[in-house]
Amino acid sequence: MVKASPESQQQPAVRTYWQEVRRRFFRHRLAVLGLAIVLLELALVLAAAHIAPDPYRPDPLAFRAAPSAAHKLGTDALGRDVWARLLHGGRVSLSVGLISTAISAAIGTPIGLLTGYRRGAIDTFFMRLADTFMSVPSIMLILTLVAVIGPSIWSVMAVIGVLGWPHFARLARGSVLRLREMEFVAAAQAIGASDRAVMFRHLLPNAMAPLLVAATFRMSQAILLEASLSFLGMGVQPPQASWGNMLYDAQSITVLSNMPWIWVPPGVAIVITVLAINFIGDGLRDALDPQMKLS
Amino acid sequence: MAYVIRRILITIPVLFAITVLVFGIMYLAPGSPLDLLLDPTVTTEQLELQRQALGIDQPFYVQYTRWLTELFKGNLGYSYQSSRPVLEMIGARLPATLLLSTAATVLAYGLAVPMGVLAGRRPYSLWDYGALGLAFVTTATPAFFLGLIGIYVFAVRLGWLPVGHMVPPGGQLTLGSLLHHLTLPALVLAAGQIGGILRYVRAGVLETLHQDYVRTARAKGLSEQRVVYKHVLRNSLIPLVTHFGLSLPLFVGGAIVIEQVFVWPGIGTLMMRAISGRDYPVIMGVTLLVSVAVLLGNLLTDLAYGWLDPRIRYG
Repeated sequence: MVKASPESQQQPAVRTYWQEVRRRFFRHRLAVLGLAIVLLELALVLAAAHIAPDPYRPDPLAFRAAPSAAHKLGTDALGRDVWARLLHGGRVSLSVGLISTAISAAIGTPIGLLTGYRRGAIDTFFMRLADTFMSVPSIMLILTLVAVIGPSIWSVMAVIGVLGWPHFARLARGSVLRLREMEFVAAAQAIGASDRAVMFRHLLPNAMAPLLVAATFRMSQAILLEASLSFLGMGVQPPQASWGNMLYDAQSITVLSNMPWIWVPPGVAIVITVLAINFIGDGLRDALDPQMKLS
Repeated sequence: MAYVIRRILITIPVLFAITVLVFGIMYLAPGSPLDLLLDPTVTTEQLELQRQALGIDQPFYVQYTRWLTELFKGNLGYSYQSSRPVLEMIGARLPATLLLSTAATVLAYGLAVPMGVLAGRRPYSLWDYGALGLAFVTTATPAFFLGLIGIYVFAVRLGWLPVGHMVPPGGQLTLGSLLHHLTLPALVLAAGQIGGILRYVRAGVLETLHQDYVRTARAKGLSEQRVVYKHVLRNSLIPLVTHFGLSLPLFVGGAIVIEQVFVWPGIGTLMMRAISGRDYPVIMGVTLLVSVAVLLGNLLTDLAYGWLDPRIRYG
């Protein structure tokens, strides 16, 4: 039995849905750890200018130098500070993750709401289109598109973002199909709400939970994609730093064998970030839907 | 049967859409492949003649129809760089990729299924947490980083395995050396798959263990071995077929990167070279071929699912 505190006697356990979600999320230890890691990374990345040297200026006295007092994580082949590049690469990864996911959600969610609500020909059309997009391996399509519009952080963000729409469209559509026969929808229609109002004011909030969870996983996926692209030389272009293109140097066997400080930190940073975001996603999933147990 | 036919009919428009998508991207590409080939002494007229010779001065639908007609004749066009038929180039690279991906798939399922079953049978045990931890970490590690770590540990430090390539430079292709070169890339490619399979199997076993027919089997006095292998496994592994189909695109993506890391002479390295050289026919050919393979893979897994599990009725 839980001892009733005076506070809970005054306010019997009436919590709003989101309060309940927050409570369950913060009980999920890994999710909290993930959130802490991501927040710490954000802080470090934003403070990069104050806690690390210029990521572009080479140190003429130190090429491929091992970690020292002057260079916490050593320097790369051009004598640039690895710690500084790691932080600036973090900016790239986190912003690619955030912005491309936002783009995918902004395109996919309305399509999903519309197709699920209207059904018919428009539904068939968009779902076949989604099938098409999803059967072409995304990295291939992304590589091709990036090659066509030219690799840069912006094109990577845009391409990953635009190509991510089917995930959100399918999820939103699925939720709408489940919800559209419910009474609150009929009620909204009965009081004369426009289709747009029904979709965005009534259906969307109720379809939010799976979309939020999908967004976190999509974010870590986008970070991995950006890293792969930059590693292949088709993503963020030097001299701009990205975790992926920092690992590009390790394709040289000398760097790989003798200078772990050049390639290990960005790799570890990717793994930690993706893990942290996935933990947040798992926590969110458990918190938003108590029926759905972590399997 | 009606479902099979309808499922195949649905696949056809998607196939067409893929050809339009791929061709459309290439068509809209700024710059032409000639930019890379030409030296500044060439006049505009000569350039125009070249463009006409390659047919890239025509409008979209003309180029697309011509490409599609040729496609039906089994002609994927000619590489801008080497002038060799694209189909032949892909054909030459295909065995290496098939070998690598088959080996990786076998390894991934061979390792992940038993681990997932063990984890599902003893949920929340030390083993279970270990397996889930492994699943988390492998899904969060980019293939190329794992590849680099693998090369560093097994090739550079321990010297057990080669750093890359399929055949040693100047060496002969023997079974022993092939396996020697295959081990590391196949393991790394498999690692990317393990997490997903493991979690899937674990969830399936966990769920099946609570079914009534499992309780019945136990009540009949069947040995635990028999219960698990005969009753639980059979039923919990069927959904894995769907997982296999769905994970194909991701798998192909991993293979491209892994081939690049290990200088594996397959489709992935061919694709990367074509991309950096703007060799459009090759890029189109590879993308099309891989997409068709993925699409067919999905079709087959869908059909296999219905066949394996007669309870599934397609409405």
